[in-house]
Amino acid sequence: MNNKMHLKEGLLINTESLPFSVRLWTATSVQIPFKGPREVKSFGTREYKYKKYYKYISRRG
Amino acid sequence: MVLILSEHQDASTVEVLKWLNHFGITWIRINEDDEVRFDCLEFAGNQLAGLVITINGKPLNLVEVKSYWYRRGWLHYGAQYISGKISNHSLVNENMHQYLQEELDNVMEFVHRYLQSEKQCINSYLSAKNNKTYYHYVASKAGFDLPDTLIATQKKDLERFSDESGRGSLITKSINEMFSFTHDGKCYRNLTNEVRQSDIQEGNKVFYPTLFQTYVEKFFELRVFYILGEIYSMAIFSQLNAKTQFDFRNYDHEYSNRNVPFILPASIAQKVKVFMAEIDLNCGSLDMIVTADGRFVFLEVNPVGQFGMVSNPCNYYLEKRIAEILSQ
Amino acid sequence: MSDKIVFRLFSSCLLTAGSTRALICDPQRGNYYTIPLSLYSIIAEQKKASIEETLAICEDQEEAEILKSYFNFLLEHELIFLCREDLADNFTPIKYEFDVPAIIANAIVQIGKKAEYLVDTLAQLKLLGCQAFELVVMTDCPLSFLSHILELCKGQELDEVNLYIPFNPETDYEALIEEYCFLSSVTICNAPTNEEIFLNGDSCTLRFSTKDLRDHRHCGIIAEKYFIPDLVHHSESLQHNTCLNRKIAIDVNGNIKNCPSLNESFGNIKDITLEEAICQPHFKKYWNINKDQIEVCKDCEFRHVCTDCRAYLEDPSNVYSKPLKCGYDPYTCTWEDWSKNPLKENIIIQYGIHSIE
Ligand code: SF4
Ligand code: SF4
Repeated sequence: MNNKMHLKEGLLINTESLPFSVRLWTATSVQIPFKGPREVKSFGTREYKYKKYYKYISRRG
Repeated sequence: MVLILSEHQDASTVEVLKWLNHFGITWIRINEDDEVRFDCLEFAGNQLAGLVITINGKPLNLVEVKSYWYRRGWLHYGAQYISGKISNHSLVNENMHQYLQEELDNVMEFVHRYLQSEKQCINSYLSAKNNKTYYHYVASKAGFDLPDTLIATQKKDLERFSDESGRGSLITKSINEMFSFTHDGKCYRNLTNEVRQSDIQEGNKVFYPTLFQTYVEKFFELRVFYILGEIYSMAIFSQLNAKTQFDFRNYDHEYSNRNVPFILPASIAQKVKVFMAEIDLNCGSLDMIVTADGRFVFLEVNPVGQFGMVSNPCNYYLEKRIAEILSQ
Repeated sequence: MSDKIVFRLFSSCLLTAGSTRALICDPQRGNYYTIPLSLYSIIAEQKKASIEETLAICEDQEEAEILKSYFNFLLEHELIFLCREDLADNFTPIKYEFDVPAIIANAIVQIGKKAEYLVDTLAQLKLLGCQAFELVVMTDCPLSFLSHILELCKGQELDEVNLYIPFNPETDYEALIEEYCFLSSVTICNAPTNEEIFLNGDSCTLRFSTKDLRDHRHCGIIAEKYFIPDLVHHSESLQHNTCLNRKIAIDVNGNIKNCPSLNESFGNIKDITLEEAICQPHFKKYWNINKDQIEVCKDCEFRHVCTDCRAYLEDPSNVYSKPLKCGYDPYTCTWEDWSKNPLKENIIIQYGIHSIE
């Protein structure tokens, strides 16, 4: 859920030396994706994001 | 061989690498946190005979590189600075460190210049800095429609800008890149926000330089991916959905945007080409707005923008196209 | 400049006309809707007409009211949008290109007792660009054997693995799935119950089945739950066979096939490489059989969300025959249970399907 930044909670105290817009910034809860990140050496990455190509390889029922 | 400078979490890089593998092209990827060291540069017989850097200890002769893609990130050669003490005198230390850094910076800047001028290349580290204010200026000279823009430090200037007749509502966003940080389980971001009259009244008299723009009522947004003279655009219909009225990154997962391919009118495509040439970028993503009365308003260009979000919905196969260009 | 406002189909919405009705597929929202052919032709023509103009052509009031309700439906689901006439042509149709960076894109590998060729097979598949794997353990599967297989997959950095294994009361499947996050689905066969659990933030399905789904004769089902409203699938479907294009199968004896249910073998993994098998003249013979060439399917509005099957056919002697295990009739727009159709009884016996039910 979006809500505006709670400046009153004292996160940023000296607003005079900050941009005008700071009171309009959005705060959202951090969402941690479940799958990965996973290291895939063959593509030189530690945070591989898999792009799904196939929904069903076979259809058994 | 293809050289790619990227960041380790960049998903688009992987998709391009899959195509390069499929084409049987060898590649080397350097990420922002790979340890890069300068090894040797040699001019002989009036020619550059060798330019060798090491990546995580492995030597790479850049003369052998055929094409180069600057995707994102930087060459992390900081570790090569002598970090220990050189002298017991702190001032001597400081001066020496600065000198050493300048020496190395000089040769590493040449590495970037060499890659961007001598290779078949997509983008370059040196022109990828997002000089938004300058880009705005160049866009005005290229003949684009632009939103009225104010970067101010005082409430009275903001009030005057806001009062000017016919401006309607205002928005504010970063002068430079979007900024975010996490604190106590929350993620704070300065997205594009509406500035209401009450915000202006409640706001401080004097503030740190802040950007304001007239809000452009959009029929739809455009994301334009430009690469070596080719243009791939996508229309984003986010207006249908009040929640994303100001910035489609405020994602609404219930009712997603409509993303469809779009062909720029020839006159706008021409402006894009002039603009990109002027700012010396051969690849980038431009954001525009198309108004209900058919005006194309330029917002910004992102040198290292995500093109996957244009490629997939429009079936453009940009990852394949990039791999093809790098294979030439 | 004219100020006329015309309607346009969002080009992300894919139209398919059947002989009785048509389909609007909306991949961006994962939906599809059946519509009458009369509405199909109005949308498909892309004449630059306003809604008012289109309504005006109606013969009578009643027809106009029906058409109006269609337009309401299209607008409500955001399938069409209204646009200035002078911009309408800039909204270009999607080009239905299809390609994947892979010579072989998906594979079914049956695994026997020792899994002796598995490392080599997976390594070869990886080099061919294979993106998705179905691994079917045909023998008993104690935990040690399962771990061995999963470690091999991990070592090869496989992307998407769908596993079929026999039920083993001692195995903690959920813990296993959590550990091996590349698993897309795990199907436990001959289980005491039928159940489906979504794990790893929905990226993996753990399915228990009382049937032995490892037996390939269970495959080839056509049903609405398997329909895929997706742009890549649609594009592939226009030119290729949606099941067999860029597919390979290695059966439990090492025979290289198009799919485990198709009998023809192109050699054995012990003797030749997969690449050599693919180069054989008939290996790709199904790859370009698309739904527009298949009997009955070519008249079906679902043909580009549907997935084909060439192993079980209504008429085994005709390679362009409709899939046997489809109960849909596009001429009457009704579904029936294919396995109870008396006309199919003999063929079901011929394929040996009756003995597994
Ligand atoms: S062709 Fe038929 S049996 Fe073979 S994998 Fe495809 S759906 Fe299954
Ligand atoms: S007739 Fe059956 S198999 Fe053929 S396209 Fe329609 S639903 Fe699919």
